[in-house]
This record gives sequence, C-alpha cells and structure tokens, in this order.
Amino acid sequence: MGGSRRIGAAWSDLPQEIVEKIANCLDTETDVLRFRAICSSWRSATTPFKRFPPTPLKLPFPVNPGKPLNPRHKDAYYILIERTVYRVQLPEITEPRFWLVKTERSSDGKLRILNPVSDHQIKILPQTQLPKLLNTLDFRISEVCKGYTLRYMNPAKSKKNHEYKLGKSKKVIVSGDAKNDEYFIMAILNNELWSIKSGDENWTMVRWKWGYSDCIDVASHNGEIYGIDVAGCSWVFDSMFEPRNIGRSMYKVPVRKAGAMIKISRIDNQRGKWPRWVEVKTVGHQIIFVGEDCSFSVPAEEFEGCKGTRVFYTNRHVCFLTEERYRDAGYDKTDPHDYYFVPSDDVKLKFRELHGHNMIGVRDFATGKTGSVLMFTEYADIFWPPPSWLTRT
Amino acid sequence: MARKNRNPVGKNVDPEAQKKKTRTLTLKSSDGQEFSISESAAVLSIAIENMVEDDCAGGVIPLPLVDGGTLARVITYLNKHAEDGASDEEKRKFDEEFVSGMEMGVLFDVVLAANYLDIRGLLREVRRRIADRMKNKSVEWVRKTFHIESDFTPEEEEQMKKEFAWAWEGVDSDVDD
Repeated sequence: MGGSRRIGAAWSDLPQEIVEKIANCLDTETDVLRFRAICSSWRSATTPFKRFPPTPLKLPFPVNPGKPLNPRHKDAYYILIERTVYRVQLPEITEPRFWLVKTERSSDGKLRILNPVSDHQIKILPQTQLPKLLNTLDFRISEVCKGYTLRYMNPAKSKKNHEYKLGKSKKVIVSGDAKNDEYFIMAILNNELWSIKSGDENWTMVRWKWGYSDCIDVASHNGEIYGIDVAGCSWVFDSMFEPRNIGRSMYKVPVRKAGAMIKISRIDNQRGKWPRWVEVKTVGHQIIFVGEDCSFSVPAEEFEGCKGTRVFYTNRHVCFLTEERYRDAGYDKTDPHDYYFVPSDDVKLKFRELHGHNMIGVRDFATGKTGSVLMFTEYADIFWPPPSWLTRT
Repeated sequence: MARKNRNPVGKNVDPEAQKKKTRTLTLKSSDGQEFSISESAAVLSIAIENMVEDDCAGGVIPLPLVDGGTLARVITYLNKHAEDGASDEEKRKFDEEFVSGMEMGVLFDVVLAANYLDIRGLLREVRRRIADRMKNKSVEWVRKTFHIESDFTPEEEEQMKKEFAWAWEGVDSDVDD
C-alpha cells in the first residue's frame, strides 16, 4: 500500500501551494496561528491571519447625525471591540478538563477576562492563580464563539482613553470579508437597528416595514441576518435589508420576562422555503450559553458529571439576590422565589471575582430547577476561578 | 432520475459524451499496475484530459508519480463522480466517507495525487479534511499526528512565543523582561 510507506516523511515537504490552500480552509485566528507554528515550511507558505474588520475599529458617533448634538460629544466616536470565547485545555487530546474563558482585546493587545454570560469584566486579583503571561503554545486552544460590542470614546473627557459602555447598545453583528477589505456592521443602538459598511461616513437606519420597530436582538447565521422585535416577532433580512416576518419566537421574550420559562427554538431555513421557528424537542445533552453578544453551546458530556440540558442565560432584567439583599429589597422570606438564594461563605469567597454572577441564571431541564449560577456551583467552576493546571508549565 | 449532472463533462450531452462513456482508457501506476477506466471518469482529472486531447496516450496512460494503491482509490472516486444518476447528495456522502477513514499517510498520497492529476473536487475535499484534522488541537498534537519536527530558529521561536502569549490588562507582565 502506498500509505504506510510515507509515514514519518513528508508532510512538511508538501508543495507550498497545497499547504497554502489547506491553511485557507482554517477559519479562526487560533487555527491559523497554530498552523504557522508547526514547522518553518508551513509558516513560510502562509500569511498571518487577517482580522477583518481590524479591531478596535473607530466608527462614527452619533448614529443619527440628523439630530442636534450636545457639544460635549464633539470629538466622540465609537469603537468596535471583538470578544472571543475560548476553550483552553491541556495539550493531550484525551484530557477532558477545560476552562471556558471569554476575552476582549483592548487597543494595546492585552486581554480582559469577561464573565462569559453577563460580560462583566473580571478584575484579576494578585492572589488569582493565573499566569501573568499565558503561553498558549502549551495548550489546546479553540475558539468557541465570537461577538462584538461598541464602546463610546471621548478624548475631551477627563478619563483618557476610557472606553465607556453603552447602556442601550445590545447587540452588534459584524461580517467581514478580508479578501476584499469589506465589512458590514449592524447594531442595535437606542432600540433601533443601524448599519454601516466599509467606506460609509455615517450609519444608516434599517427600517422595519410594519409592526413594532423596536429591535431586541439580531443575529447572523450562514450569511443570513435575523432580527427579533419587542413583540417577539422574528424577521429575516434580504440582501436589500428589507425585513420579512418569519413568525413569533417564543425564545427571547419569556427569558426577558421571567427567566423561568425557556423554550428552545431554532430557525428552520431550508433552501427555497420560508424560514420559520421550530421548537427543538431534544437538543441532545447540551449546555447552552445565552449571552448578550454571543451565544453558544457545549456538549454536556464534556462537563464532568453533567447530564441533561442546561441553559445559562443573562439579561439586564434578571437579578438574583442573596439573602441579605433579598431582605433589603423588602421581600417576604417565605415567598418561594427562584431568585432568592443563600450562598455559603465558601461559595462567596470562591466566586468573589466573578463579577456579574448575580445576573447569570441557570435552567436545568432535567430537574426543572432554575436559579442563580451560584446555586449550581459545579457549573460556576466552568467560568471561575481559572483551573490550577494553567500554571502547570 | 437524479438532478442535472454538474460535472464538466456532463455539460455537453452530445454523441461525443456518449462515446466517452463507452471508451475505456488504461492508467498505469508508478509500480506498473494497470487500471481500466471509462474515459468520461478519467477526464474528471484535468491532467488526464489534457493527455487524452493531446493524444499522447496511445491507449495506456502512464502516471509515474502515483502508486497503485493510491491510484485504485482515486479511480474509485472518479467512477463515483462520473456515475450516471448519482445525485449531488449521494456524491457528497460518498466524499465524506471516502476521506474519513483514511490514515494520515494515505491522505498524504491522495492529496499529492489529486494535485498532480488536477482533480479539483477531490483536491478541495482532501484539503478541507486535512485542515479539519488540525482544528482545535494543540501544536504538540498536530506535530505528532503529522510526524513533523519543529525546525524553527531560536529567533522564530521567540517570535512565536510572543504571538501565542496572552497578557492580561491590569496585570504587569514583567515575567519575561
């Protein structure tokens, strides 16, 4: 047989044009970076990953230039920031343990660690067991999900280079075409949907044809852009950005109202058919993370001792209270309430850096239990603290 | 009946195409094995098509860079893709299975053969599957699986260490300086 004869030879001697085209099949920065670190011939046959649009990207402020602008915003602008959820593992392929970390790249290339669901920045304390520089060459890294956010910058303000969070910016979707240097950005700003593409000087409002125009979510999938309005109607945008109603989604709205009722749906968009929402009866055993800017899922069997489907979710209307805060808020303790829980001192100490934990809800589909992530400490471990094996090398 | 055949040879449904289906060629591997194949399947390889057109074939086409084992595999692929009535879906499924079980060494031979014979569809498929095998793995694992030794200079190693380092905002990364 031809095969065995060559083992141990030649992968590094593969013709350059083949190597280059194999590298073109890799679509994440992490995969390309790794490819170029295998051997010098592979490195020289390929070019570094081109992040497009290059982030942080400066974008015009405000979105609506028609309205009169307060002079203090004169030099202000937006920046587009990229966020990535990584899965970090030891290099052995049999090693199941992993760390799910969401990061945001600042303008100087340093990473901020975010709560993967609520996006609160985690401040690293001196006692945190985390290498000051993590050499990711020593690990198995994969990109789980990517998201974007907009920040407001104003050089005239006293805090230099401070990135101000936007209260009413919910979702930003970006599609970039590195080959043609073209990008397209869609953002929900002030409950309206705006878009901007490479070369544009200003944002353009995306008009909804009828019904409610207030947009609560947009997402892109397989090159199609979907939107959900406040009435829970879903829309798909055609190439001219004309929205087309595809029915009600039972998905975002209940999460928003109660957090206790979650139905998993997906958009069934078969070629040639009208896309529609279908309820997903079984999703296999999945841990689903529903965040503001990106949502993803991980097979449940990859979490030790975890079976069944669980959803981690967040939104600004959900807040889980600890006992003291619950009492302070004037609630009756006898009132059975999912949002009320008593974390032990150990739990409080362990997750003290996990900012925004009170905004992460967990829904366990097997038991029907819903509550704060700190009521499910076995899963809170996924986020924080960083595993001790990170400092192994 | 299946959908329209998208193969380049299928485009011209004329007597010439019919003739190609019945005409057979003989392909000869580097180790002297001979394989019969219909002309319509063989010309899915642009390189073979050119040889046939130039009429330098004389019945037997020698392929000195492809060994018998690899050629047998490639011919299985060509036959499937030239098959009358094989739907796109069927071909896609075939491609999936064709590559999935392949050992690394076999995959290597097939990608080289597909490149040399200029079989676009196969080349695309194999390249994609090679890339898939290294997605989400560690550098160490890829080197081991592909039997590649690191041959970087210390300067390159240093450069790569920088590319791969995650530094945290608000934490002094004074460890390396």
